[in-house]
Amino acid sequence: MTSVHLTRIANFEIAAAQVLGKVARIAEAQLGAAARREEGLTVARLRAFKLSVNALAAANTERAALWNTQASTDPQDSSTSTTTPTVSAQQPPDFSERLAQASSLADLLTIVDDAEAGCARALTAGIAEISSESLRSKLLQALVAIAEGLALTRAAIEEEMLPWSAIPE
Amino acid sequence: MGVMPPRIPEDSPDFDVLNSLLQLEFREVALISEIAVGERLDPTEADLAEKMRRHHLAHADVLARLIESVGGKAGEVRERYVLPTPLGDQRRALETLLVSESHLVEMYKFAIGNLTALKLSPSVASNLFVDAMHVAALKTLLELSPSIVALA
Repeated sequence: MTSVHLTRIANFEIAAAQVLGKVARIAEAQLGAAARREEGLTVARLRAFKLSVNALAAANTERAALWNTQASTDPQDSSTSTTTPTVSAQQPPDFSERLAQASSLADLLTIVDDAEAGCARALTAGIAEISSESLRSKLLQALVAIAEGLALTRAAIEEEMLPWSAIPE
Repeated sequence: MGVMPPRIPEDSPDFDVLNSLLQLEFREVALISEIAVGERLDPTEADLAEKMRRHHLAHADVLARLIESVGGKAGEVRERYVLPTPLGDQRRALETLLVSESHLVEMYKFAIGNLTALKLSPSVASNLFVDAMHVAALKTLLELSPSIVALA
């Protein structure tokens, strides 16, 4: 069952990387438009945002590869719970509509927040099911990296760095 | 973080683990309160510190509720906590807070990694998530140039 949980986490990470890739492209388009309007501050924020989003997406991709590798090399964990993952944690959400309608940096930031929070929730669900000490350690490292990445992304565009007291639902 | 897990055995070591985290959260509240005394912090830094303080209070509440919900007794906030002194100027105080928050993150990682009742993990991991954001925010304020990584 460990592999099931790891694969599910990998799916969230892959989906987040794809969504963030699209967010970065939209940010690039918005950046071009802002540059034409000679809005220097907006250009700077969008540029910083795009860099952060690309870094977050790269981290998602790197972790997805790690989880998939672990899932394929550690398929058995007899001490792991065999409960079915909760429905809410099974599938990454579809961001297509929100991406299509995103017209501002604020819109893009909420998409990034939600995509990364989805990964964080998948990780915490995995931590509640996987008993392997080394894997749990990796999952916790990933959770911390996502949290730090979100705070740094918000800092890069001078948004509030600490908007939540818990992982957002 | 959703539904509370079922009760755990009364002699479970997890109660000690959770109560230790609870005391660390209370200590963090005390440290931030001390740092905020005397208008040491500029408005931006003071606002951030106040948010952190509120988060730690919320985290303490989460832990206390979790302990009680699984059949344990949550520890009380102490009258005094041993805090680093002197806290110095704004930069030194924020550096002290960064050390303390980083320590708390490491304690959470260690604690969650060693919980025997895995079902307790999600609520505790949610606290860890936010405390890790605190660390990144403080590093940013202190201009320590943190970077986005896959595993931290």
